[in-house]
Amino acid sequence: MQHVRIALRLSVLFLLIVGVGVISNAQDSTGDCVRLAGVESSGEKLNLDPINQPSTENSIVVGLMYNRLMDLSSTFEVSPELAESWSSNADGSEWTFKLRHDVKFHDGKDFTSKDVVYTYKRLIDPATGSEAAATLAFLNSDGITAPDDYTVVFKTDKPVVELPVLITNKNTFIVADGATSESIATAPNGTGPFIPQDFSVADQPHVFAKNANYWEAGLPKANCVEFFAIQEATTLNASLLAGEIDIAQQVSYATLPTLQNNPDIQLATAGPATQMTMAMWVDTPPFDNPNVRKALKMVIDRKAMLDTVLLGYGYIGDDNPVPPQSPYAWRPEDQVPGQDIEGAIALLAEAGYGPDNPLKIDLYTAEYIPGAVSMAEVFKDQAAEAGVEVNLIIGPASDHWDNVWLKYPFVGSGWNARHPGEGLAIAHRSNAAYPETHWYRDDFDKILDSANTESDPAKRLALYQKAEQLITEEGGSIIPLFQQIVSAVRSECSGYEPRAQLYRVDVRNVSCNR
Amino acid sequence: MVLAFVTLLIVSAFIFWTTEVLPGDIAARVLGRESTQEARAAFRESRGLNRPALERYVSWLAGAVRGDFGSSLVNDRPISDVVLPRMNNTITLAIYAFAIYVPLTFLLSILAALYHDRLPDTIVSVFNLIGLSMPEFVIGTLLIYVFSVSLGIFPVMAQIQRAKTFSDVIRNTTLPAMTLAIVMAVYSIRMLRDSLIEVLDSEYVRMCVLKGLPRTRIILFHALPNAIVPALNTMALNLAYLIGGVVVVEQVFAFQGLGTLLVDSVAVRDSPTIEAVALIVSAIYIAANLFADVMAITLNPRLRRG
Repeated sequence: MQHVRIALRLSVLFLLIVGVGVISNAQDSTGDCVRLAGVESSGEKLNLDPINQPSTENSIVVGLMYNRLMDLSSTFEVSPELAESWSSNADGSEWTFKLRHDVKFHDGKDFTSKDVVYTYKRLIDPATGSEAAATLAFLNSDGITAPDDYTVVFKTDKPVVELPVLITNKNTFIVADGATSESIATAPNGTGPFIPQDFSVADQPHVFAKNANYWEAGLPKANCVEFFAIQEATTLNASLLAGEIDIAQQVSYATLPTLQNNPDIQLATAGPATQMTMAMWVDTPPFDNPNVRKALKMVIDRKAMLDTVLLGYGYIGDDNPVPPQSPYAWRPEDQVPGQDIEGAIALLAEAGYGPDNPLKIDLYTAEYIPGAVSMAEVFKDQAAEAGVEVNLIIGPASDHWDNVWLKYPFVGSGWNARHPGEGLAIAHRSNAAYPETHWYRDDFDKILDSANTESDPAKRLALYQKAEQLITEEGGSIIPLFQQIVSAVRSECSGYEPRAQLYRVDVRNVSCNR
Repeated sequence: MVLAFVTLLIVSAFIFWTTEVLPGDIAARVLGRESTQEARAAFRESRGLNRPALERYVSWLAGAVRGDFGSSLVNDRPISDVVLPRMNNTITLAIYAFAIYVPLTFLLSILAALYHDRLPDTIVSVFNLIGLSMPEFVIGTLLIYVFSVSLGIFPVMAQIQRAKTFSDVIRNTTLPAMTLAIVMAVYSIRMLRDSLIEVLDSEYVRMCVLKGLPRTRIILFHALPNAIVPALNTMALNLAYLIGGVVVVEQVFAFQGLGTLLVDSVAVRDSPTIEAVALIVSAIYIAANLFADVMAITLNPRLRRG
C-alpha cells in the first residue's frame, strides 16, 4: 500500500510540473498578425493558382496575394483596381482598359498589359481547364490585345455591354506573364497586399507577410495575415471566444446566439448574398402545370421561413435570381406577395388536386449550404397547410451537386450572389450549362439578348426587370430566401467589412490592437 | 508475415474496387460543379483515368511494391508529399494520447479493483459510464469550453506545424490527446477492472496474500500480468483507431491529420491517396495486433506452443 501511495504522489507531482511548464509557455508570439478564419477547407485541392477555386478557402487565400483589374462591391458596382479607367465603343463590342503605371509584382517585376493579356488568354484556354471558361465564353483569344504597355483592348464578336462586370469574375486575378500552375506552386507571384510565406497545402495556418511595396498608399494596415480553415462551427466559435482568431468570415446561423451579446465580439453583415432555391422542372408533371408552380410559391410564408431558417439573418426572395432588395429588382420587397393558402388551394383545385386527390411531390435536398435542409422542412410544413404532401429525401451534402442536382425534377439548389446579367442567364437561358428548371424559352432568351446589347443603362434595366418578372410569375424556381453573410470580428480589430460575395475577403484595412 | 502481406494485398484490391464502383466522377469533384465538359475530359486524360481500371490497379501495385505509391489525382503531387506531413502530425498525437491513455487506464482500474464496491470504485465507474455515453465530439467540446474558453490554458486549435518547441507541441495537442485518451480509456478501464477483480479473487492470489507478500507486489507482478491479456487486444485496436479513425476529433480541434485526409480523399475519389492511407492504417493494425499477441504470450506461458 505504501508503494502505491508513493507512486500516486509522484505521478501527481509529475503532472503538476508538466502543467506549470505548459501554462508558463501559454503566450503565443503571433505579433500583430490579423488572424482570419474561413469555414470551408479545400483539403488537398488547395493551391495558389486562381484559375480554379474549389472552395472559399482557395478564394480567400489567393485574394490576399493578387489583384483584379476591377473590384466588385456587394451590389455589383465596379470600381477601379489595377485598371484606372475604361471605356467602350458605341455598341459595346470593343472595350479599352487603361492600367496603373505604379504596380509591381512581389518579385519586383513591373505590372504591364502583357500580364493582363496572358491572364485572360490562359483563363479561356481549354487546356488549362479553368472553371471560369464558361462565364468568359464571349471572349476569344485573338480579341484580347495590348496596343501599348498600359492599355488592354477586349474585342468581342457580339456587343457585351456588361463586360467590365463579367470579366471581374472570381477567377480573374492577374498572374504574371508566363505563369503556369507549376510555376505558381513553386514561386507564387502576384501584385496583391500580402505575400505567402512558405506556402504548403497541409499548413494550418497559412502565413502571409505584408507587401511593403504595395501600390495602394498606406495599405495593407496589418503586418501579416494568418489564415485558418475551421470547419466545425463550435470550434470556430470557441477560437473566437478564446481570442485565437480575430475574424471569422462566416459564422453559422445556429451558433449566433452565443456571440450576439458578447462585448468582445462584433458581428457584421453583408447581403443579400447566397440565394436559396428549390428548382422544379417546368416540363415534367406535375410541375408542367403553371397553376401548380404558382400554388407552390403561394404557400410559402417567407417572413416566417426567414426567421426559422436563418434566424432573421437574411432577406426574403421573389422567386427570381435578383433579390427584391437590389436596385435591379422588378418589384421592391414590400410588393412581394405574402402567404396565400386559400389562393393556393383554389389554383390546385383548378389543376385537379384536392382533399381526395392531394398533390404529392418528392423534394431531393441536402445540407449543401447552411440552412438548406431546414428550408425544405419549413416548406414541407407550409405546403401541408394547402394540402400538399411534400416527401423530403435528404442525402449527403457531398453528393448533392454531382448526383442529385440536375438529375431529379424537384431539388434543393443555391447560387452565389451574381450581377443580374450573369445571374439571370446562368440557370435560365436555353443554352445554360445548368438548366435546373428546364426553362427553355425563346422569348426569355430574346429579352436577355437585347439586354446584353443595349448600351443605355435605363433601357437595359427595364429589360432585366422584364426577364425577372417572367421567371417570378411563370418560372420553375422557388427562391424564398437570400442569406446574409454574418461575420464575427474581435473588438480589438477594426476595418473589416464583409462582402456579399462569399469568395471575397478584404483585409487590406484591418488592423488589430492587442 | 506472409499472411500480413496477403492481408494488405486483399485490402488494397478491395479499396481500389470500392473507389471504382462508388458513384461520382473525380474530374467533376476536383474541378467543381461549374467546370466545362472539355475541362473534365482534359483532366481525366492528364491523370490517365481513361485506361481500364484493372490496368491502373496493376500499374499502381507494381509501383507500390517498389515503394512508389504514385501521385495524388487531385493535385498531381507525389503521395509521400501528401501523406507524410499528416502522418507525422497523427503519430505525434497518437503517441501523446497513448502516453496519457495507458497510465490512466492502469491507475484507475487498479484503484477501482482494489476498492471494489467501495467509494473509489463507484466514483471511477460513474465517470466511466458518463464517458461511455458521451460521443467523442461532446467530450472534445466540453474540454474546449473548460480549458480554452473559460480557463485559457490550452489553445482550441491543435496547430502542430507552428509549434516550434517541444513544450509548444505538448501544449497545442493536449486537448485532443486528452479527448482521445478518455474515449479509449473508458472501455479499457471497465475491462481491466473486471478481469483484475476476477484475478484478485482467485486462489493463487489468496495464496500470495497468505504468504505475506506486499500488496503492491501481488498486484503488479502476480495479478496484473494475468488480468491484462484481454485488455491488451483492446489497446492494440485503439492504436489503429488513433492512426486512421479520429476524424471527428481532428475536425473538432482543426487538426491536420490522416483521418481528415482520408475523408477528404474519399469525398473526391482520389484512389491513390485513399490506398496509401488505408495501407498505413492496415499495416499499423496488423503490427499492433502482432505486438499484442507477442505480449500476451510473454505474459502468459500457457499460450506458448511447442
